[in-house]
Amino acid sequence: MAFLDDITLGQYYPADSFLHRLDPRSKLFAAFSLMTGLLLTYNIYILAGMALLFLFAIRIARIPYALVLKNLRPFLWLFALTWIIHLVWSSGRVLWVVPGTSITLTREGALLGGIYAVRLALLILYAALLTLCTSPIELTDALERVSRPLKRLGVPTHELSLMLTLSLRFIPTLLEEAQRIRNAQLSRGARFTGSLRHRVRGLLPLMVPLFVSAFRRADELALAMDARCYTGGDGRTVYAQLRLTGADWGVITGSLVILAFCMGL
Amino acid sequence: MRMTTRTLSAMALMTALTAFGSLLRIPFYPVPISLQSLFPLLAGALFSPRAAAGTQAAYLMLRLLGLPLFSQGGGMAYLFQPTFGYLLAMPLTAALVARGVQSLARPPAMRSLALVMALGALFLLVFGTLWLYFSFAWITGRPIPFLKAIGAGLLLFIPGECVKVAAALLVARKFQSFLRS
Repeated sequence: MAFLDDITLGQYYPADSFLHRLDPRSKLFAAFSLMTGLLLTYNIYILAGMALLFLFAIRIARIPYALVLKNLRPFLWLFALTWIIHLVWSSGRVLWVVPGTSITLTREGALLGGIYAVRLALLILYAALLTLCTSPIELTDALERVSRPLKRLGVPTHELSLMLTLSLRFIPTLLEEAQRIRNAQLSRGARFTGSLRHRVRGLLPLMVPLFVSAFRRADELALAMDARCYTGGDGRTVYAQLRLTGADWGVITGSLVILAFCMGL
Repeated sequence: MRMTTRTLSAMALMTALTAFGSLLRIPFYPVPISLQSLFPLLAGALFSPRAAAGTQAAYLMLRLLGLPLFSQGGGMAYLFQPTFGYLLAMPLTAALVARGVQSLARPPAMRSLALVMALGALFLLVFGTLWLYFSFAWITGRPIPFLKAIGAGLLLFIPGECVKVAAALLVARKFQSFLRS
């Protein structure tokens, strides 16, 4: 049970570029309308256009290509499967019959599978681009602003976004704490290895102290917030003001045009 | 709904604990058991339905916003993983478990708590599997046989899920004095 092994620096790639400087709200909007557009289209030319647009976008975002493509790795099996399923189960002009079986590979299948795989890849890449060039804090901010109308319906949007920020801040603390508790329990002779039964039981001396300390921290935090007269989101001002500039409106309009195009074709 | 600062901060910490839990793995043959789905059960045992769902929804958001912890499966791209359903089911599961726990006597008997958690875990698996089935059909444009989806998405996980229910029970029992505080 090692938990400090598979930590990376996360999705966000800090850089100073046009895309990084855009208002997070317009990036959110653009990403979602482009993704909706992709969901609606099977047209090869549109897909090719979207691919070109994507290359252009990472070019101006100054994000290394390798880093972007890394996002596709967990999906590789899915692309392969998508393509193969279409290749094997489509009817059309036969390219090749697998000897000794009735499996036929068709031209239409290869093409259709390709379209499906490319579309999925583009969806993933656009989604990844949003998190690559916008930090989690910025995105939380944008989400809070965008979801403000929901407040009328009784959804505590401000509280939820504060929670996100708070938990972001506490995750590293908890990790450290967990490591410390683990070491402490090991020094008391706790066993985290052995049979499954042992391992499940081994969770207890780790989880229980961790929960206790986490909720103690929560209490302290609540006290600190009360002491500073925190009264919720009403009438609260923010330090980082979001402002839509001309570039933002350009991006929003552009993405709407592309969406309209995808819907029309 | 007005939240007290105490609920708010406890929820934030529960979200952080969930994020931590998704890094925990019990190495086990053939697939390591990830402890991620243990946390909706625990959140359900410790919070009111809305708050429990809130903690898990916040975790989901963190994951989609590209939480700086995961090399794989982070960021908005996770929406398109066929396994996204298991994640999406977490807030719902937490709310269900919390609802169930609310209807139990206080402090809840171990056996009924176990039943509620097992039902919650089952709900998570069923939801995840259905999502797996439909998203796969949509992504590839061709459905896989439904029974295969159930086999791969549900039956395979049941032993692991039993282990998790047991672990959640063990932790929740230690917290019985803490319940509903």
